[in-house]
Amino acid sequence: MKNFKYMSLMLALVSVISLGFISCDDDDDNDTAAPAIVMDEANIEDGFICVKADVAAPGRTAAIQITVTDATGTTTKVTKDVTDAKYIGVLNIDGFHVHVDIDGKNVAVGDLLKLKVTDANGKSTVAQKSITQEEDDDDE
Amino acid sequence: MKKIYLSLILLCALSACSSSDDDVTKDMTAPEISSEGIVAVPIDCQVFKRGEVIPFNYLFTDDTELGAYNIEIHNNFDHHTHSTTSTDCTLDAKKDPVKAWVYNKDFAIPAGVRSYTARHDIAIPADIDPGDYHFMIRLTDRSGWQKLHAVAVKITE
Repeated sequence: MKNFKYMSLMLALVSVISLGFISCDDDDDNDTAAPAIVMDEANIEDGFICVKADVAAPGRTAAIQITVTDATGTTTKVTKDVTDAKYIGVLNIDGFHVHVDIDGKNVAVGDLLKLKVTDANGKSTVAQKSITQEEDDDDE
Repeated sequence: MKKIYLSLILLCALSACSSSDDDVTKDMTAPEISSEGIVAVPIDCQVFKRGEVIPFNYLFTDDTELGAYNIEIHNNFDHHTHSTTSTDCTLDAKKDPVKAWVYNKDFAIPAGVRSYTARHDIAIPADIDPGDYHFMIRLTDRSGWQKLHAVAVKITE
């Protein structure tokens, strides 16, 4: 009987310790929100598209890809992986600014530019903007 | 005695993870780009000549640890703006670039540093288009927080 009581006590103890460790396990890495993107600009200029955006990536940026498709999103015309060190491994990008070469790619006003940001946890977000022509006035 | 012994084990086990160290070490602050105590170069509306050198000089600080920085220079012949650029400088007329200057370089900061004075001589090519340029400084701390400081400069013949 004494042995049974002791065994029960040990079992309860092991259970409590296990639960204690599980309950306070640090799962911050998986709780971070997916990247957030605010697209500011996707303008056709002289042979390139000027892309501007702001990015917040609580899980740190790991990969950034720009894709240009037709207006319906079905035909891909240009793909560019952005690998600049200044944009990778960061929590925030204020003033993301990249030029995408479109010479000979038949890109036109109204096509879609998609900006995909993937963080270090594998979470990704895609923001898109209809491509416009660079404005000519001084108030842009 | 046995109960006391077991209670102590339980207490130790739970207290080992009762508080997260992350709360203490988590960096929530972006680094700073400043001119405190130094003569910062370049500053808004500063004018340089082709063939000269820009004696870049800025102070970087962070509350935990600095990481790296990037300097990028591109033309502003189309009068675009960035969130931190001055709009008070007098701009030349808009024009199309012929041979605009493009500079883009990453720099590392020694590990464990919270204050760092960055000083470089950046040579301006003698054959580039003169005109308005943006000088972009992008500072990242070890945690990944980034700060952008954009400066409007002019390069003359």
